[in-house]
Amino acid sequence: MRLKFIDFLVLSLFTLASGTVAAATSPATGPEKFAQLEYLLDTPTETRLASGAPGPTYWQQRADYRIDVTLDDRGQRILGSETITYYNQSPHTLRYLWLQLDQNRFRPDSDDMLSRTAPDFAHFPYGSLANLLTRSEFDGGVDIKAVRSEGGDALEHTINKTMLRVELPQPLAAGEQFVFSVDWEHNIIDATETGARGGYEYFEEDENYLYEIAQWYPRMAAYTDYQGWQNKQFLGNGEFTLELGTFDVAITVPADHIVAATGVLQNPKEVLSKKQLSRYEAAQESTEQRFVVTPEEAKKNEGSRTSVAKTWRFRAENVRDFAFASSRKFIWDARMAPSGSREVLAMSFYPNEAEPLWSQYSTPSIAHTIDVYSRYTFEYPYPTAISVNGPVGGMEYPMISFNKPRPYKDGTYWDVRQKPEDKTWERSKYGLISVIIHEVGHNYFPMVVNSDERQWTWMDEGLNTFLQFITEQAWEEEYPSRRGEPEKIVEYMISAPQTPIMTNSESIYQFGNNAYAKPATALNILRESIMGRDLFDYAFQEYARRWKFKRPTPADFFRTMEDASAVDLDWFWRGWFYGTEYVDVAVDNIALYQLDTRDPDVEKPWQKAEKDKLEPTLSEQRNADAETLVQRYPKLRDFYTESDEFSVTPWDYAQFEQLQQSLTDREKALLNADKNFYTVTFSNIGGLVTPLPLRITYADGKVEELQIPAEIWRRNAEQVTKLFITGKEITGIEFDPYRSTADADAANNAWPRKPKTSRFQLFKEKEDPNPMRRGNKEQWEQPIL
Amino acid sequence: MIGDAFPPAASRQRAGRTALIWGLWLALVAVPAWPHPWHTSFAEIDWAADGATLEVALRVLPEDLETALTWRSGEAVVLVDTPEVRTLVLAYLAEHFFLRSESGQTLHPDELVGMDLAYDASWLYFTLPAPPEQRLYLHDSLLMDVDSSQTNRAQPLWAAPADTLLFTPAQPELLLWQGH
Ligand SMILES: [Zn+2]
Repeated sequence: MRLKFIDFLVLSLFTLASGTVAAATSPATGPEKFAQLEYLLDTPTETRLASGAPGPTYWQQRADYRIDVTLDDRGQRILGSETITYYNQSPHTLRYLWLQLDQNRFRPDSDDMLSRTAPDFAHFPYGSLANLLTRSEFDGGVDIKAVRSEGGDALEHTINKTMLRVELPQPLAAGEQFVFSVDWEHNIIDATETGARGGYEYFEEDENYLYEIAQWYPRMAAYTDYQGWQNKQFLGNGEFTLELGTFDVAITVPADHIVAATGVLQNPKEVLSKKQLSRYEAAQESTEQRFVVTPEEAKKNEGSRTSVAKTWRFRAENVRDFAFASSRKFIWDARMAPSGSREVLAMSFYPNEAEPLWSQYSTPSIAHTIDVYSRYTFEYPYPTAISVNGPVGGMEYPMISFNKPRPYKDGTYWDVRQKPEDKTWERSKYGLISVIIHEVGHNYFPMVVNSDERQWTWMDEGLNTFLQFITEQAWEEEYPSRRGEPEKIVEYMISAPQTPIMTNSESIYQFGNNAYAKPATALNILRESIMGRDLFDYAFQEYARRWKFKRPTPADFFRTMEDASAVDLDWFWRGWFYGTEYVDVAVDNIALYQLDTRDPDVEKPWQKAEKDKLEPTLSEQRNADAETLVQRYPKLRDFYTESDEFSVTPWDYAQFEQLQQSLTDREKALLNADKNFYTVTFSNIGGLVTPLPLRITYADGKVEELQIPAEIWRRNAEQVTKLFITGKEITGIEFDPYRSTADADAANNAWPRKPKTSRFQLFKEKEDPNPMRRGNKEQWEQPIL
Repeated sequence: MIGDAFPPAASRQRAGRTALIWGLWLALVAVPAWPHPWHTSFAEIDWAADGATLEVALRVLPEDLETALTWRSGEAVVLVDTPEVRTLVLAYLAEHFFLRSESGQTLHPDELVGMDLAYDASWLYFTLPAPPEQRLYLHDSLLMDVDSSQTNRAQPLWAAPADTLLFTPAQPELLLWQGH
């Protein structure tokens, strides 16, 4: 199509967004999708500022614990007694305190058990059987023996399922502290059968237990500025909302056990042998990994049976929780690992059953995690970082994490039987490395950036899974990450039913994709395709810095990311975190417009060439040899018969001259520019707005890449038309060439359309020998018969 | 926490015992099921050139398939591409991924064309006989025996991406093909 020059001048905007196209669809969707979030976010206060930072009146409570605990290795039971100092740092007066009794989740009459819907017996999983039987037979729940004031008086208290309310003798005014103690006991659950976050594993061969103990002491519920008491019952999915404080914990275990715990061991001389002590001290002087307890020593220790007990003392500062592990079976390795300018004691504890994997990969994974995470957040603030192998996996606690991957009994794991060059046994190796990165990474979110897990799973799991992806990719090239790349989230994004990321933890459908993979992918897209690495990394680090050892809410995250980057992201949060739409953009229509210069010497020949390009119609072809009336009677000829409509006349020149005089110099220059005007129409089929990364191919073979910001959809979010001006002919346009937007349907991404081959077809066409044939050249060159 | 990538090694369960244990469930009030972030599978389905066979590319978590095969066979199975493992996989697919036609026929996968086994994504490629003139329902209860939070998605390539089917333990069978 030839565009009249005057028409062109009217199009002062190069983007023909909305306009005529919009009328056909619904023009309101754009403004709605780009509306600011205001009413969806909490109103800013002097406690939580509009910038997303903690304000001058920010406060949080504090709880310090002194705990004496005995691990009963005969009866698999915990017997504990604690003294809690509760600091009311809120501006409010409190009349009662709430504690959490997480072990009550295992009572047969718990909400967790009662609120489960009935099974579909026809499709009941094998995997749930053991769980179901163990749970119904287990004598679970915590036995509260006493709740006393500092002076020893019994305190009135009420147990409501997983919550315990303690009445205060006098109201606790702002700024005051209250000291009280609780004695309790509970049975430890078999974690191999239930998938709990802590428990024991029994090893039949050597009749030993391995304990991973968590959610094991009555602990303070959080009291916050945005929620009051966070006393939602513990149902199993929504993890924990906790106060930071100092822990002094004395753990009494059989003397032949090795104990790993949150914090720093205070009495190594009392609990370690001379040999162990000197190795432990040497490990703290070096970045070289060494054994404190060797595999052989651990094996030998499995046969020990002592009736003597020992008490291991740990102290941990500024932590929100405390967990520990204990067993006769532990191998122990350790080394110092840098995190920024700090040095951290990285340690792993595992039974011989975890070898050969663990001594090779566990502690290096810890060291790698605190190195990479520190670059995107802050230096690892604690003195130790520990990975323990046992029945739980994976699960995170301050300074300590429980990670489950382990080889088979014969020492192989997964396809270790195949040859190393077939890249096969790495499956298991990567399973272990990934879970350790993830669980150690949780020290940043939510252990230090102390978000509310019970309420918002994504705030720790999503952010952590995002950094896990970065850390995995920094381990080695082409690390096989399961989450992070946009294309991996597509199947979830187009599935139904779905809930938005901003959904309470207990009500989420498709939990893993919703709370882990989708927010992690969203942040990756934000970083790579929308904000760019520099702006994103600065803002993300600022969020971590602002909320280190504080308690952020989603609004604090959303606001900080904008505040520190000057990028308006409300549309992004709205689409990715508050919505369930997906990305699918189609390249629909391409039209070429060229400029009518009105110069008769240019335009007439062009018009003639265009006409000559047309092939004669069938009638014209068939009439070609027939004599016409005018041919038979030349008298019928006149001026019009002879004149060529494409010949240039003095009148044409005069018109052009007149036009030239009416134009400014700039307009004249524009008129003479030899340009093509292409309009490309994009349809937003998925609904979620996205930037448009494009690759344009020209007739001369040159390729150009550009990105149109998501704001192109701000007036009409269903269809937009974009104008491209170029001196060259465009031969192809492709949307999302690097699969960076999570676009659901690549088949409509290109003009001209690229045929989509199914995976099945691709597999059949693949000529690679299968992995089993790759080890042997003679074999792979033989045809398969 | 992270997805429990390694489900309880409950190899002591045997298929033969399930009938006995089914009796026990009925006596219990509720079902414990550890919600699990990882358990999903994805199938791409298209008609083969002959128009009477469906070609399926199925992505699974290798460790979950390993667990399922271990439970099924009663001994530890390592997921490698060997003739023995292929036989097990095909038998497992026959139980958990099949078609039911309008006329009441059950159509099982007939050929395991190949496997691509890797940590981040493991793919199985197989074919299913399918009478195109009939309405076809797909039963996809893959790995729901390993974990009750398993969800499976299947994308028929003749339909729009948004028409992906979602299979859950409560709804393991859905209409795949209208028939013609
Ligand atoms: Zn996690």
